[in-house]
Amino acid sequence: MKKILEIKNLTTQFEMEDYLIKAVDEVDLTLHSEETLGIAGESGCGKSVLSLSIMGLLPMPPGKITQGEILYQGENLLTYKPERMRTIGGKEIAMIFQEPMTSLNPLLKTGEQIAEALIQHKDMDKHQAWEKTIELLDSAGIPGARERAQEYPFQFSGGMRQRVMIAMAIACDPRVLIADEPTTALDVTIQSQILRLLDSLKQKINSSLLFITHDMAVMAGFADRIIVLYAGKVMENASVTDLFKNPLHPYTQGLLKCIPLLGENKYNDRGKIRYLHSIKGNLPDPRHFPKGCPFEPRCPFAMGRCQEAVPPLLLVEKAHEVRCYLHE
Amino acid sequence: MNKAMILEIKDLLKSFNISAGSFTLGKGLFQAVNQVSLNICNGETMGLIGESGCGKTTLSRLILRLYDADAGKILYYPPQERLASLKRQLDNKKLITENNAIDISRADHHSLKIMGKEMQIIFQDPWASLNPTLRIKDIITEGALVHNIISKKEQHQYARDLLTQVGLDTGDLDKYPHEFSGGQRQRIGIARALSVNPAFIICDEPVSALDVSVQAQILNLLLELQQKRGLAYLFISHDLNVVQYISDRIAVMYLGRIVEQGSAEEIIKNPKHPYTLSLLSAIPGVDERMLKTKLIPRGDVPNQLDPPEGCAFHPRCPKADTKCKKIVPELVNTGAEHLAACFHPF
Repeated sequence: MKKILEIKNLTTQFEMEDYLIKAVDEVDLTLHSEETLGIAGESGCGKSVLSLSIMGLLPMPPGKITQGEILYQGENLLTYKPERMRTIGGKEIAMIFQEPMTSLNPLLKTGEQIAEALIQHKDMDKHQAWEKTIELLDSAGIPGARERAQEYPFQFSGGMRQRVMIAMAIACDPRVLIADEPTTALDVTIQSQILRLLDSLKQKINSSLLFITHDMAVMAGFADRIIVLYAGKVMENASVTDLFKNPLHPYTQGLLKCIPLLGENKYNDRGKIRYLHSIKGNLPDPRHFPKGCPFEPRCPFAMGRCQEAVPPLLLVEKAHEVRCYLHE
Repeated sequence: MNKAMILEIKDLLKSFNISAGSFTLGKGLFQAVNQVSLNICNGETMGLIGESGCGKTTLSRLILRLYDADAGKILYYPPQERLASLKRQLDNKKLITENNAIDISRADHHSLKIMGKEMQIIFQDPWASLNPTLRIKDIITEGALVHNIISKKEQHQYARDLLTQVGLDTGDLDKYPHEFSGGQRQRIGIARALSVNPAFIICDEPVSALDVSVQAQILNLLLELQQKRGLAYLFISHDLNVVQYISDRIAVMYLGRIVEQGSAEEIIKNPKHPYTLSLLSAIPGVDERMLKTKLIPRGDVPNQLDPPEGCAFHPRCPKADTKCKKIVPELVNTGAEHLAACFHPF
C-alpha cells in the first residue's frame, strides 16, 4: 500500500511561563492510502494536539513543534509557508471536529460555509458551488438538502450538524480525513448513524482516515490499525485484530479489560459481586510526566528499570510494536 | 419483588414553559417528564437510561424536590431501622401516610431539609459540582455539621474516615478541589453524599465525564459502598454497557416517558420496545449474537416542543402503523415484571 501521510519523530510542546508540556513526544506513524488509522487515548494523551499539528492549526506560541517531520505524499508540511499550507488544509487534508456547534460559524448559512471551501479550493463560481453543496449535503444524509442549505447551524440538531461538518470535510475530495472524536458529543443512536456515514463516504471518495477517539469499542469496529497514545507517547501500534486479540502493553490490556461487556452483570454465577478490572491511580499530570515509562506509576508489572528510562518502541511481531521492557 | 420498597413515584408530570423562545427549540410547552411511575427497592440499583433530553435528569431533580412537579406523587418508605427517628423529627405529621411512607411531593421546606439526610445525589460534572473556595474537609462535612450528625470537634476525624472510605489519602483534607483530578473529585462528591449517611443516592451520570481507565474505579467504589451500607441507587446514564453492569433493574426513557422497565437481564436479553433494541444495537462493537435483531433507528430525536402524536418513537420505528401514530401506548406488563409501552413488542 502507498504511504500517504507519514509522521517521523514529531515532538510538539507547549512552553508556558514556568513549566513545559510535551504534548506529543517523538511520535512516528504512517497512514497508508485508503486505510483507517485509529489513534486511541484518554484525555491529555496528545491525540488532539497531534491532529492540530498535522493541520498546521496549532496555536503558536505557546505551541511549538520542536522536532520531526510531517510528510504528506513525501513533502514535509512543516517547511510550508502559511499561504501554501492553506492550499493543503481543507483541500488535501480535511478535519472533522468533535463539537459540531462550536466548529460551525453561527452567523453563516450552513450551505455558504460549504460553498466557501469549493469556491476557494475548486475554482467554482457561486452557482456551481451552491449546486455541489446541495449534492454534498444530500450525500451526507440530510433530508431536504436544498432548503436546509439555507438554514443556520442553530436550526440543526447535533447529529445533523455533524453531517454538515462531514459534508464540508469531503467537499474537496481530500486524500486524508482527520476525525477528532467525531461522535463523542452525540447520542448513542445518532453515533452509530454518523459512524456508518463516515465510513461509506470515506470509501466513496477513496480517502484515508485518521480516526481519533477514546472509545475502544468504537475503534474496534472502525479502524484497520490502531496506535495507543499515553502521555504523548506511542505505547502500542498494531492491526485492529492483533490489538484486541493480543494486547501487549499493560496499559492497552487494562483499557480493554475495564469496560463492562454487554451481558456481564455485577453478579457472577454464584451471585457474588464481580468487581470490574480497573487501572489504579490517575492519569499523569502533564507538567510532571515521569522520567521513565509514563505508565510506570499505574502499572501492575512495573520493575525497577521502568522508573529510570523510557523503554524504546520494540517491534515484537510482524507489524506489532510495543513500548515496554516486558517484551524485550 | 421480595425486597421492601424505598421510593415510589406515581404519575409524575413536569413541563417547562419556554416562553422566551429558544433558538433551537422555539416557543411552547416542553413536557420533560410525562406520566412517569417507578419504584426502587431497598439496597437495589435502578438504572435509568435514555438519550439527552429524555427527561432523566429532570426526574432526578423532581425526586429531590429541586424542581416541583406539576402533578404526581413521590413517596419515600424509610427502611425499618430509620422509621422511628425520622417520624420523630418530622413536625408535619400529615406527610406520613398510613403505610408509613413520607410524601415528599407535598413536603414543606423544613421537612425537605430532614429528607436531605435520607436522599443524596452525586452529580455528573466533578468540575462544576464542588465549591472551589472550600477545603475538601469542609466540602465533605458541611452536610453532617448542618444536620448535627457531628460536632465541630469531631469534624476532622469524621472527614478522615470519609476520605478513607472513598479511597482518598487523609493528607488531602486541607487541599482545594483544583488540586485533584476528575476521578478524585468524583470520589470527593461521593464522600459528600455519604457524609449524612443516606439510605438512597441518585447517581446522575457519575462516570460520564471520566476517562475510561478511571471509570471502572468509581463504579467499583459505588458497588463496594452499596455492599457495605445497603444503599439504594438510582443510576442515571446514557451508557448502556455501564447501566446493565451495575443495575438490578433498568428503566428506559424516551421523550419524557418510561417506555420499558424490567430486570437488567430481561432488558438486555429480551428487549421488547424497539427503542430499547435500537439502544442495544447502537452500542459500538456490540456482539450481534447478543441481539434479538439489529435495529438502527431512522432520523433524529424529535423536537420536544412538538412531539409526535401517538407513540413518540413512531417516526423512527420500523414497526409503526396507523395505531402507533394516533394512540400513546401504555406501559403494560409483558410477563416476568417486564413492562413495555409498545403495541408491537418484539
